[in-house]
Amino acid sequence: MLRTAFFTSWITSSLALLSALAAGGAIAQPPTAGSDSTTPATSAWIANPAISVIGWFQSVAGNDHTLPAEAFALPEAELAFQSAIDPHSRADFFLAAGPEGLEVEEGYLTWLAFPGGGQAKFGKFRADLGKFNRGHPGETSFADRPLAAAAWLGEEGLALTGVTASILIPNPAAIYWDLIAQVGSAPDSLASPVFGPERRGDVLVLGRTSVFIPFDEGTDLHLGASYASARSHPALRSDGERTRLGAADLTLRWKNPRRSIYRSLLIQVEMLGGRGSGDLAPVRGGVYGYAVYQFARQWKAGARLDRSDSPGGHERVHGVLALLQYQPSEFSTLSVQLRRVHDRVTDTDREAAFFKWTFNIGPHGAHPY
Amino acid sequence: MRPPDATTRARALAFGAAVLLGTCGALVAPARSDPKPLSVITTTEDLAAIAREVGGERVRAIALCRGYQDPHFVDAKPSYMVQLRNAALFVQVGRDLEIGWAPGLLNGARNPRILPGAPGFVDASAQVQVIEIPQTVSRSQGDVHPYGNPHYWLDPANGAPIARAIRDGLVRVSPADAALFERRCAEFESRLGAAVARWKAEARSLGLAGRKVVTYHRSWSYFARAFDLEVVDFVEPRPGIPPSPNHVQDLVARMKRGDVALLVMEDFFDPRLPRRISEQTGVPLVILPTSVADEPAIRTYFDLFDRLFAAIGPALEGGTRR
Repeated sequence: MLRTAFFTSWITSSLALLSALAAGGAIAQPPTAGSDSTTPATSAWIANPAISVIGWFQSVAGNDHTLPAEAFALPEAELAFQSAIDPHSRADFFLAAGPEGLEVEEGYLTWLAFPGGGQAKFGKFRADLGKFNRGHPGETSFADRPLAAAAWLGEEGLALTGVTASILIPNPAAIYWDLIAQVGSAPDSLASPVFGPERRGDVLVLGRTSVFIPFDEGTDLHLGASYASARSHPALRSDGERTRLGAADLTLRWKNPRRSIYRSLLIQVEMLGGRGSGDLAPVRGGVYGYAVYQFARQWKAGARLDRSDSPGGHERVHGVLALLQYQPSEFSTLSVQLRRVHDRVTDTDREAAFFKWTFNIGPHGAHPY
Repeated sequence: MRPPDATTRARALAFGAAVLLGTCGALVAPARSDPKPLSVITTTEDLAAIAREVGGERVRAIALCRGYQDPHFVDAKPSYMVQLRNAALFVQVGRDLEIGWAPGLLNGARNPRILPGAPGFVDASAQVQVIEIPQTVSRSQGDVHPYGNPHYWLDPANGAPIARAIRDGLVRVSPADAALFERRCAEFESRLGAAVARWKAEARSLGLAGRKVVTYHRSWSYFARAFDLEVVDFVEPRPGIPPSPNHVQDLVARMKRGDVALLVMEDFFDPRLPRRISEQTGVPLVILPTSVADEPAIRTYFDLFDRLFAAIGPALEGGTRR
């Protein structure tokens, strides 16, 4: 009873906070514009890498014991250092500072172009397995990761250290069609629920191809297929020495180009499937799909459906999540999210409510698409 | 421990070798000349229109941002990378106008000829006298542009330095056509000079000098400076952040003093709030195109300013205009 009351009051408080922030207050006039010149006032910015911080504050309530016990947390502050190295290459480093310390979430050098329309990355990067995995945890719309993504790729997503090569494939339709190959050291069995390298030669190999089809100026479809293989997690070796993962993703976007800041729709569906290399190993997997609709300049609403097997095969969960998002500016996003997960084996429900505030300080970065 | 998987190791080595060979090849790949029209990709339609003036039949200029789009908020669609991949010249407005979308496209296009610093990269603001460079930059002021107001193409006199920057870029990527580009650029500057004189005369006949206006965004600072209009306030004082009710209230009170001649807004914003302000204050609202190709009839840089004056004149006489 007490828990229900707390849960209800938590949701009410979060919605009240969103409303209060949206209502706004007195706004002072910005300072008068400064001098006129043909040279930037702060040339030091040019020599230094772009430095920014993306962080998020989060509050959790509910009876979901799989989530962190703390009601309030600053799960991560991500420091980004990005710059061109020279005319041929650039460096992007993302350091994640969290309760467990500072670690390199991604850090890679990109050789921007080589003959034949190719590009290469060297370092640590998020794997191109599906589309969702490329996003950093703080940048996604959700306070959690989709159940299948968390179950198969880990709570932080799948990253590897190695080399990526990618090309744009010329085609008569002149549409975007890419091919990506990645090879690198797979994450260890503590970070990955399905992979578990033990030797230097236990590398992860990954391939992905995707096609981007614009229907008109405001609507487009992005289709992708990915495949990865690496030495199995110790707990999964009864299904084979290697685990193979496949993913298929579909992203549909709509935006009225004449009113680009007011209305938009994003629909994404992603399927993940895995199988051990043993002859009799079963195929297991999961799927998630979500839609986020922007119904006003600063407001979005969305929903997500989840289904996932456990890689070990003893658990199957279903989930549903709803979110309401308020964006005071391009650099700050607040959302209230409600999630229910149903465990079909134990026939129990777990409920959670999240409040998430993501912020970005520093130079204006490019928006991923 | 089992010995490393030989097949996997061989695959990894072959993959790594291929990447390294390709990377080294980029350093020694020779430049090649192309007899076809030069592919010029610009961020905005205004730059594409000026590139056509300078390049004539020798160029094929395409803009990524449509004329009716807000150039601050263009999605970096992968299909744009395909267009950029084969471009000989890339032209941007610069001053961070395209910071949210152009850098990612250039990095993903796999075209070293148009990367910043390469001969095929043109920042059209290089020779423009940029205004409103802030002394201090803070996000508390909204999405300010730290390198100054980037809407400089709305001063028609700035068409000349834009054309010269594009001419210089074209000469770099196709030196054999230098004489053609220089001649066409000079002709464009000459025609533009005459047109600017005509528009200045029209501004005088409309009595624009000293008239006070309120604009939605800071897009009109250059236009106002060119024709001696005085911008006294903004509907959206902090760029990228919708106005608060308090600001709207203060703005309505300010405009009711009776000395504001026009409320000017870009046509990619929602007109509902400006219409309400116009109705409450009696100040005529004029919704204007900000770029070439915003409307089908605006095909050239000259058409854009002809269209602006065709709208402003009647608006000054009263009533809402589109």
